[in-house]
Amino acid sequence: MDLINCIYGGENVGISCTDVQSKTLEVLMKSSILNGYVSRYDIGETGAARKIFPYVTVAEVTSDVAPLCIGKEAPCINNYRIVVKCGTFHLLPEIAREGGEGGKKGIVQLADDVVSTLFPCDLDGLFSPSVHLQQVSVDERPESGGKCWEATIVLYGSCKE
Amino acid sequence: MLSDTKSIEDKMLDVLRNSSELVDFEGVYIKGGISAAIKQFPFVALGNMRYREGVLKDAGGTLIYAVSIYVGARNMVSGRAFNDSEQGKGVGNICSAVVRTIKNSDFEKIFIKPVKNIKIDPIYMVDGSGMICIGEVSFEAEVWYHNERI
Repeated sequence: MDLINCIYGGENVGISCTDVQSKTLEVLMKSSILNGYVSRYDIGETGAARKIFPYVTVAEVTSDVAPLCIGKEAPCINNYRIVVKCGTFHLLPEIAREGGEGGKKGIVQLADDVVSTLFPCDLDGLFSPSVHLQQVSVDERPESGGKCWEATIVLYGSCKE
Repeated sequence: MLSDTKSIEDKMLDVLRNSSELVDFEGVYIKGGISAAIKQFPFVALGNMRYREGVLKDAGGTLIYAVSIYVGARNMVSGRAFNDSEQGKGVGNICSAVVRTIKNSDFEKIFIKPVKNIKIDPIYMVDGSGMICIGEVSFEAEVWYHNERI
C-alpha cells in the first residue's frame, strides 16, 4: 500500500501529483500575459479542454521517488514530470500556427508564453530553485488539415522529503 | 517573453531565402514543416522547432533549439528527384546548399555559439511512385535568455 501511495502521490509523498497539477494551473491562471487571450484553462488531457480555443491544460503530472538511504524514515528525492499542453484553432493554418493581424496569437507564441510563465519558476516554492525545461514542441493535430495546432511543454522538478 | 521563437524562425527563413548558395533554387520557402509545403514542389521548409533548457543560472541561461529543414523535389521520371535534371535541382544538391548556408551564416547573431550537430539525410522520405524525394537537414543552436523575474 505504501508503494501504491508513493506512486500515485498519496500521503507518503511530500507533495501529491494533484497538488503539483493544481499549483501549476494556478500559476498559469495568474499570468497576465496568458489571461489576455487564453479562453480556457483546464486539468487533464486535451480532450477535456480543446473545445474552446485557445486553451492551456495541465495534461499530466507523474512522479517517482528515489530513497537516499535504507530505513523507515529514510529521506527521499521526489521527482515530478509535468506535461502542459496548449492549442489554437483557425481556419487558416498559418494563422493558427503563427498568429495574425490584430494581435491574434498562434501556437508558437502561446507555447513561448506558457514557457515564460513556468520557467524558470519554483511554482510558488514547490521546487527549489526552479523547475527544468525538458522539451517544448509544436505540431499540428493529426487530421485537422493544419487548422488545429498543439504545443507540448514538458517540465521536471525535484524536491527532497 | 523568455524566447521569441517566431522571430527566430523569421530570421532563419530570411537567411535561407537570401543565401547565395541557394540563388539558383527556384522553389518556395515556407514555415511549418512538410505538411505545410507538400503541395508546392520544390520547397525548402523550416520545420517546427523544438527547444529545451541548456544552461540555467540565476540571471538567465540558454535554450537549445533543435531545428529541422526539409527539402522537397518532384520529378515526373521515377527515381530522378534526388538528382539534378532539366526539371530543376535535385534534393541531394539542395540539401548540400542548405548545409553550406548553415555553416557559413551567423544567422544575424541570434545564436550565441556556432551551430552544432549538423546532420544531413538527403533521402528522408521517398513516396511510393519514386517521383517525390524529401531530404532533411537538422542541427542544434543555442540562444540566450534573460530571467525577467530578477
